[in-house]
Amino acid sequence: METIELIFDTILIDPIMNALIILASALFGSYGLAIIAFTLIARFVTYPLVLRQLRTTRAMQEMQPRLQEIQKKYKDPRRRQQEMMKLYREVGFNPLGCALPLLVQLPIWIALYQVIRQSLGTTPESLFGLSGRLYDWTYITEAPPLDRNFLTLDLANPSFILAILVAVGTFVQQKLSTTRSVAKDDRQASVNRTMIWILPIMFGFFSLQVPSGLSLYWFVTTLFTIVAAYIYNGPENFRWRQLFTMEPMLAPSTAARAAADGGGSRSSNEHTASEDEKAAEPGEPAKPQAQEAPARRSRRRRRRRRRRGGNRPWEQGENRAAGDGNSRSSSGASDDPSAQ
Amino acid sequence: MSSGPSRPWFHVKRRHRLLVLPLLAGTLALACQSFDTADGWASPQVFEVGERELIIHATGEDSIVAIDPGTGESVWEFPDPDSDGRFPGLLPDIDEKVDADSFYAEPLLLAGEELAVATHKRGRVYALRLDGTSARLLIETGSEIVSELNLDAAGVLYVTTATAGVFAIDPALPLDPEKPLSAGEQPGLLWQYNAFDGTIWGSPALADTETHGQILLVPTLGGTLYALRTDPAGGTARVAWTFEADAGIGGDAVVADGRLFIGSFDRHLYAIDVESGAELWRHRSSDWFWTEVLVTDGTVYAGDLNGYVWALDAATGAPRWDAPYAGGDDFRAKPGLTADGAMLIVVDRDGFTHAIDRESGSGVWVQPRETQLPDLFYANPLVLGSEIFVANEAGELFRVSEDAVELFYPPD
Repeated sequence: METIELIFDTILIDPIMNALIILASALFGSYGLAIIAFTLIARFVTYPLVLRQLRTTRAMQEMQPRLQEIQKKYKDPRRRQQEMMKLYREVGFNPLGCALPLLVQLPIWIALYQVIRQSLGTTPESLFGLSGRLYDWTYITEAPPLDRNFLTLDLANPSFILAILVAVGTFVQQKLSTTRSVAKDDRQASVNRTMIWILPIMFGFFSLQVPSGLSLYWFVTTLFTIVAAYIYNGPENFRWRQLFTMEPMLAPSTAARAAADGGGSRSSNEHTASEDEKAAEPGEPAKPQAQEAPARRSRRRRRRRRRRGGNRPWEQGENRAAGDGNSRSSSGASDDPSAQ
Repeated sequence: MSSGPSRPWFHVKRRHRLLVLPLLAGTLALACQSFDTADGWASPQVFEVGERELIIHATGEDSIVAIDPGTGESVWEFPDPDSDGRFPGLLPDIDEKVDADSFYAEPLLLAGEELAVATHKRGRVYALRLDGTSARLLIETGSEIVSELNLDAAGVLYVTTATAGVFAIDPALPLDPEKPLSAGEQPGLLWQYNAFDGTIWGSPALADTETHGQILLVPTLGGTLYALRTDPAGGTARVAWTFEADAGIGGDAVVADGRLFIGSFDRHLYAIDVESGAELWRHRSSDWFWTEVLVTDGTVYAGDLNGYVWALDAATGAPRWDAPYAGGDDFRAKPGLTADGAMLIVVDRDGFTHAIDRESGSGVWVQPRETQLPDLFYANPLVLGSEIFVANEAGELFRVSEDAVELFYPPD
């Protein structure tokens, strides 16, 4: 345990602490600006991971039609899993792509908590431990104690305002990274919906427990990710109005839309089991582009719907939700061989 | 082993996915659990009460206890643990509990066999009868108190807080037991001064000067040392002079022979002329000085946070030893002196007691490694005759000698 602590201290805590002190000294003695600068530097350094996360989200979106095909086609969980993994390999998709940036940030988060606690010296005892961690450079050793005030924030104590900002930022980030899932049943869809809300609440709650310097780091990180996603996906693919709905904020990509158009799905997650059963040959996941008949059926249905009201599939969230219920029940029925 | 379908190692069953979040939350909560407990580092003191001596010690239960040095038994405790946080005879009769709180400031003897004790978090100062029969609330500052209290010859008590500045109070002001204090009322307050450039954790010292009269020397973590004229002309204190260090000043000010000695985070120990604020000399170490120096026989003894103890000529700053004593971890505690004056007793943060030859700076004995005491040590050692007492931040008091260590309080 002591060895782990030593490694953690040497690799993370000490370098971050000294870097923050240097940044604070360079940025007019402001520890808040130092945290912002540190966050941006850290995010640029880990930008390949951010990029991977964005690509993964995009890839996930584009794979949806084919994943849905697999979901509907293969009733045997083992086979379904195999086919999904095969598809992942085929398109070079790594499910960890989304989780990795979060996992990488976890130790930084923990280290930063320790750094802020010690470098801001919330108690005499915590400041006491700081001297042993400073690199032997006058610029650093003479800097403490650092100014713990930034704007109206006391960086050493929790801030309610920042907690709210963190929660909102995390929510937007979640919305951006959530694709329409291959929800097979209500339970899965419910899990997805819950995930969108739980993370913001969780991080908002944490922000109320930890120094606001840490919340500032998290908030800037979130902003960075949102901006990166905005630039990566292009402004035309952002649907800000969906922020307050249960629909994903990212518009389906061109590929996904094309696949949806040609693959028999009304939207990226909308299928009926009956259609799939008819569309696919047994044992072979149907390529959406090759599904002429279901595609025609789908277009006809869409035209009928347009006549009734909506014009674009992704603007009919509520209608689709109702439709999902129907399709799920039929899907559920088709899962059960005895029901067929 | 398993004949089931091959699944990637990161696969989580759908119904278990929601468990991932609480697990993540738990990990973060565990990692970010607050270690920021201000345990206090008030040093044990000994006072005479009538015919007997009492060790006054800040416990780990956030209370002050009077201990019989012969038996180690508690004579009284404040707040009284058996009275639901109340203290018999507390004046004024405030309708609330005496908050348990940690103590950084050492108890200070007032006139009339009373002790002034300052609580850390709420910044309250009480006057306790040394026999433990009654207590008075002198002031509630509303700011944390880390610095020591100061009492001048006229009986004025100076309470230095972390962020609310210095309060000068008259501790002798009688309180009417029938008349509760109204909110914010500070009956003994003479003046308050709060125009400092940073938090105050170091301890002030009083000095008499020809030019400015009595001054209170207040160090700040902003790196400025303020000399305040305590004569309350104009209703408050006035700045006589200031001294700027290159970094924060967390050490305790000590005045001897017209010189002020204080350590700074800029790794220097300074000697400053109390009349003018001019720097007399400075001594550089390899780490912060965050301690209270011991000045005796024209020599300044100080430990630093790199584990060195220095002996310097008080007039010139020239080293008295061939090399500093190097044998321990960080030294925050002020060195103690044995009864015969031959040895310095220092305690490092790791809990090892060192006896150093005062003349040569060589180690006489060091507490054996196998008897290392638990927790961290910031409080000054108490040298009482031939016995040495050291206290850790958990409030345990140990009796230490060259070859033995025993827990003295609380009793096993």
